[in-house]
Amino acid sequence: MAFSLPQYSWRELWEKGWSGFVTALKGMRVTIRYFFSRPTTVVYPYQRLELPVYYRGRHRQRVDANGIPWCIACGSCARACPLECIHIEASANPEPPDTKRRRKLDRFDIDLARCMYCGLCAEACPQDCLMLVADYEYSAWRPQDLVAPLSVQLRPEPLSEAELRYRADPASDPAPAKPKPPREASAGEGGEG
Amino acid sequence: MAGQTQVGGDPFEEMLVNMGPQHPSTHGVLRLLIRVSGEYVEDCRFHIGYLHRCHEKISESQTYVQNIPLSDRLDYVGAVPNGWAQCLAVEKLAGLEVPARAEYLRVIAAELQRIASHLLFVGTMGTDLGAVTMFLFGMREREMVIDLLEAMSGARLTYHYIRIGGVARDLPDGFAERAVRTLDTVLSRIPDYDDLFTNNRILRERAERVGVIPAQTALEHGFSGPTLRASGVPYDVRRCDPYGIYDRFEFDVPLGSNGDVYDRFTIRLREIEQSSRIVRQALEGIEGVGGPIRTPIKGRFRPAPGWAYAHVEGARGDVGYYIVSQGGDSPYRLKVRSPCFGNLAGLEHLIRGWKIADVVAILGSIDIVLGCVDR
Amino acid sequence: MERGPIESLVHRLFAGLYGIPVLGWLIPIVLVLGMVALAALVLIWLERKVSGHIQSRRGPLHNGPHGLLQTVWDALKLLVKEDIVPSSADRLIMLMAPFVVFTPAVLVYVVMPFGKGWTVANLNIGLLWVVSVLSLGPVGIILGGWGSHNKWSLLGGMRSAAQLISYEIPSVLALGAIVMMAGTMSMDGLVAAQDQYEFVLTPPGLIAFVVYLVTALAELNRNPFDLPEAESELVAGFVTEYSGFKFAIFFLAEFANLLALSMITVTVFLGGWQPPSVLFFLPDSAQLPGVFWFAIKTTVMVFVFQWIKWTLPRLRIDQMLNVCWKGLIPITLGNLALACVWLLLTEKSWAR
Ligand code: SF4
Ligand code: SF4
Repeated sequence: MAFSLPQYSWRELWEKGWSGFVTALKGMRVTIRYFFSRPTTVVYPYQRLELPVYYRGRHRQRVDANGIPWCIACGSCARACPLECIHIEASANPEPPDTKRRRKLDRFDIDLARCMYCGLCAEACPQDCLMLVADYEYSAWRPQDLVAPLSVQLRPEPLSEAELRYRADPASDPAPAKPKPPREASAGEGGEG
Repeated sequence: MAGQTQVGGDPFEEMLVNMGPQHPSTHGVLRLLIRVSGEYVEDCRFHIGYLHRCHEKISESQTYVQNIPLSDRLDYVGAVPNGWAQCLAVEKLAGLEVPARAEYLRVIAAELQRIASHLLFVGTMGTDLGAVTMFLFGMREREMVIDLLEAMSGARLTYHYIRIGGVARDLPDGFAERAVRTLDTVLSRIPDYDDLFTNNRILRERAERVGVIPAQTALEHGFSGPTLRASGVPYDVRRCDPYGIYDRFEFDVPLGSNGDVYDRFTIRLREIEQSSRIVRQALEGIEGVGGPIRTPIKGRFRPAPGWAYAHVEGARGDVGYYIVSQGGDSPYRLKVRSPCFGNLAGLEHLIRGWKIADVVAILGSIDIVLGCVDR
Repeated sequence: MERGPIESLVHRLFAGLYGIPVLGWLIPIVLVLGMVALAALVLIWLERKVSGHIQSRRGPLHNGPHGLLQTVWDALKLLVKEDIVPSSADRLIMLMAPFVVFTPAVLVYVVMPFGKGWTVANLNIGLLWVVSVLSLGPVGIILGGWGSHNKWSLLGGMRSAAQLISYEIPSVLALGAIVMMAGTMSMDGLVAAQDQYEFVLTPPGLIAFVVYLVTALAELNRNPFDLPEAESELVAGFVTEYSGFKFAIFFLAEFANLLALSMITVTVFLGGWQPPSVLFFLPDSAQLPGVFWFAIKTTVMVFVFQWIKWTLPRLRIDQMLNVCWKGLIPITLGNLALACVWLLLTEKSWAR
């Protein structure tokens, strides 16, 4: 196959060469300006970016004041998950903390290595107790270590102001109308969380 | 010489080079088999499918709601429009109305996504042509736009923002000012790009009159998006088949004239400006629009039997979803029209006769994402 | 020939062993080798820092102050890495290549005047030595490209051959104008000839300087002429199959070359170890040792090379050859004529 090179006149060559020289200098002006300006990067382990409160990181289970999760073991989250990464086993609770939580969780594992953090499980939860929080530092050496059991998911601290505001918005709630999470009369905000 | 496959012709002149699937500049896992004579490409064949994830088949076994996050994985650097196209098709199928505020939010997200995607393109074009600094500059500005999208949706890459019947959540407080500020910064950096890269003589030599796609050829191969518009065809779904509320906004559709690599590069820079215009208008427009952001779905979501096709203008072109329902929980058939696949299709005969260095430039200028090509 | 401090030190130290001249040369050689290795490590760090800050990043930070030790650990990592040789590679050629690249890069320093009289060997054909030794490097690159039996390596090697053979010519022609003006090829002589003003301040010198910068970029395989190792096109060009120690040697050679070419530019165009003539109003500047000025100027040149590298995109191979044959060679030929005119005008005699 024969190929032909474009032919240039000397004049064109001169113009190309000169503009090449000038535009190279212009580019160098830009780079030297950035050389002396402040870097935009964040030195990660020492500095952190602030994430939005509804950032979809790892899962958390909200618990009541006694440290018992609000979960009623209904399995909505497991059904909503496209990837089937939530495994729930539950049995009848001999001493239920309230009328709703008649079943207690024996196993609530989330395979974080398989999860795609879509947030559908949290939206499906009728108790509004499963949530994805802005925590992204849970790397492990092996994928099986990323299966998070219930114990590491519990979140004792109450919801922050910002989280409450975002979650109070009914329009952002998922489709099925859901009952409000049970509220303990005396506990106030702690009861909410 | 062992290991050197000869394909006809003069065995001492030609060799078969395997570019990819693990090559720095095939933008994913594309494999090109190139027969070169010296540096000239004589023939080229593509092998795709290394990233095939059965998107369409998986969708048939999942519910409509569960399918939406998967769409983000197609064109993962321009995820929002994919979800929009899918939701639009499902909404057509189910006859769902979208609240007015959600329409504005969708426009804002999609246009921010277009800006982010084009900024990434500007950067990768830089690395493809050897200007690594341009890559980092493009990434730097993209990060800022991604921060906005993160504030809107809660994720940085796979947003899962557009949902059936609306969007996932409302704008956070003070978003409008923050967005305008970010867009101002991004636009103020474009003159720097011009000095550093766009007007650079070397870039112009590398890009002008290289990889020319005539309008006719582009249409025949099913090109779409900026790649098609660079050849001078004024096809933009936002204009030709307006969806959402795009008919309310004022914006230009930038057109190229030559259809070369340089046009495909500059047209995206100009689209960044147009998109930021749309975002500004949408941010103003949304002020007075209250109300819900999602139409609630009652009970189990089972659209009536039938089919629907919806397409939107994604960052890379015309994203289309064709969904057939038989009245069940999940689609009977789901078909994606991916812009990257169409854009890639014409490349095989495009890069013939250019040099290896040009192959990289042309491939980069088409701006493919292999997740979108392979599905 | 007058002895410089190093030479006289050596002569004093080894006066008893004078019958064995090899020992007399050993110390300077070890010194130079050590300096090259150390400087290369620092230069790699500098390159990372410069590129980082140009790109709004920070570059290495964590190992040592401002990441200064990062290169050391990287070098150690490369040394302990497995040395992979493709089964169909030509083992001997592949092994030879890094050293063929590295040796000339170090040999150049033999004639380098680091300071007043600080020369290992003051050859009277110093510049010729530099040019001829540097042109050996590409041989190693071609060997590496051929020996590793990889098509990308081969393409890189061939590109390198085309590039370096072409760019030798304008490079030599640009230096030729300077040699005419100085009337000597000895590196010390070149520095001495710039005691009034640097050659870069004369019109032919300026043109030669710019052309030499371009050719130096090409010889260093740096942007916009990094075609032999164009990452986005040829994966890694001629180093595609290299790993571990051999790769480290290539890496070292690259930075040794960078340093060498910066030093040559400084010596030939920027007045070597003498204080810059533009600082004549600072009478104290002459008090500082020459090696100080030499180091400063070299660092500036290295920075300029890095600055250019991180700014420009890459040329295509035919454009690169066009730039050389249709651009630089005519310019340098014209520059030779200009140098003649300049010599006549400034009434310098041909033979000094
Ligand atoms: S975030 Fe999505 S993928 Fe992960 S567990 Fe929840 S529903 Fe499943
Ligand atoms: S949906 Fe909520 S309440 Fe039901 S099992 Fe999951 S976490 Fe528990």
